[in-house]
Amino acid sequence: MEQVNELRRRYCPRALALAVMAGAILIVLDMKPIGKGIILGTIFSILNFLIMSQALPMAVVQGGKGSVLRSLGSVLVRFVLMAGALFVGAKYDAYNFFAVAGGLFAVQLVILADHLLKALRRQI
Amino acid sequence: MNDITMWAEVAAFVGGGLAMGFGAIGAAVGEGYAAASANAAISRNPEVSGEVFKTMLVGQAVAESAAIFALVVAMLLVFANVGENASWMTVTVFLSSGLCMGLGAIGSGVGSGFPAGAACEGTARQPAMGGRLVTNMLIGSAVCQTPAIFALVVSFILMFTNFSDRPVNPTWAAILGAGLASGLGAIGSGLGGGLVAQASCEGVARKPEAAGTLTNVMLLGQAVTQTTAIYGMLVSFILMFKAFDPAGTTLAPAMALLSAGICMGIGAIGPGVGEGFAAQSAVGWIARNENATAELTRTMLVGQAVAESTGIYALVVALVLIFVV
Repeated sequence: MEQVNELRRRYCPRALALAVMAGAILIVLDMKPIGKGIILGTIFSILNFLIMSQALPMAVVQGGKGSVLRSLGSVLVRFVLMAGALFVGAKYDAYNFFAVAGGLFAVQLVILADHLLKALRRQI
Repeated sequence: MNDITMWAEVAAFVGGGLAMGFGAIGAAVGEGYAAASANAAISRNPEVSGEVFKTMLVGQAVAESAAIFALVVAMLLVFANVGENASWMTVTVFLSSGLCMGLGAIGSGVGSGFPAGAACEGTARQPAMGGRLVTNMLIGSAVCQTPAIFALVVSFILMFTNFSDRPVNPTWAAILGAGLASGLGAIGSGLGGGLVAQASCEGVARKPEAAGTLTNVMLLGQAVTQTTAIYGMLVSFILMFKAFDPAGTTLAPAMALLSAGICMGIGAIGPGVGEGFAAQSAVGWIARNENATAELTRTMLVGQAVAESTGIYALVVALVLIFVV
């Protein structure tokens, strides 16, 4: 689906670019665990969105039992991935847990910010 | 490993399970509702199936946030460092923070699904308004997440506050009550906020030129629906930070504090949903007759104030249970 590809192309690179910029600034300011945590969380947020947007059209096309299995599998894989990122944040001091958790919302925040900016531009 | 440490570990695992288990309910229902509405929308106008699919995907991504909050708390609990200094309070802290986040995510997850579904159907009706609808949906869904964020904050405070200098009895009950007040209190506000945002998305699709008014009244209506979740958080803060006198082996003071949390938590559910109905209706009718915006907004606010009164009764009884009994 072209519209879904367009969503991926629009939001994923922006989320990654913002996270790398924020992470780099924090690392330079000697807040390495926070900076690395944001980047790690964002990478997993992007992976989550990519799998979600990839699996949904496939599930719709397949139909029947295959569709249900594919949807459940997608949910399982996505939550295991996010749990993996949080596990790294909880177990390794090199990553700040809360920064990883914040990074997991990067794609959602970029979507929200993009639409709010558009609404603001419409008003101006 | 002593007995208390073992029970603290058990409580951390159970708390983690409760957080993710309850937390998954709302987001799943909300996402399912959005998908169901997307089906209806595609059936109505198959030519815009791509746009509808895109709207559904964005809506589901936001609705899932509540489940991610729950996942964060669950992971913190599962990998909590219990240590040898664990006490019976540690046991209640883990259980309470898990319950708080799990219950607190239900309303926001379901609520966020309503605007996502309405935006999908609106995109099928008014394909030209797709961008505006998604913006409105995102704002409405983001506000729906507020009660879940309150629950997340209370969960974090419970986990990271040192209660070891407090008397075990009745503090254990205050801690449990704090988690229940915020967790249960978030359910109604999340659902109510979602109903308002749904009506706003439907309204934008029905009457695009009233979009600005509809978004503003939606935000006003949602702000009022969130107040009972704020009462829940207020009672939680009092229960967490008020110093209570040691109660020895007497159970009555502990039960009063636990009941205060339950009273506020359950008491906040109805007003949150009821205020949501009032604002949903006002926003829906503004879309049909924009000239009556002032009268409809006034009626909405008066109706919400009356619906709020039962939440205030619950707050008063909770405060009496904490400060008087």
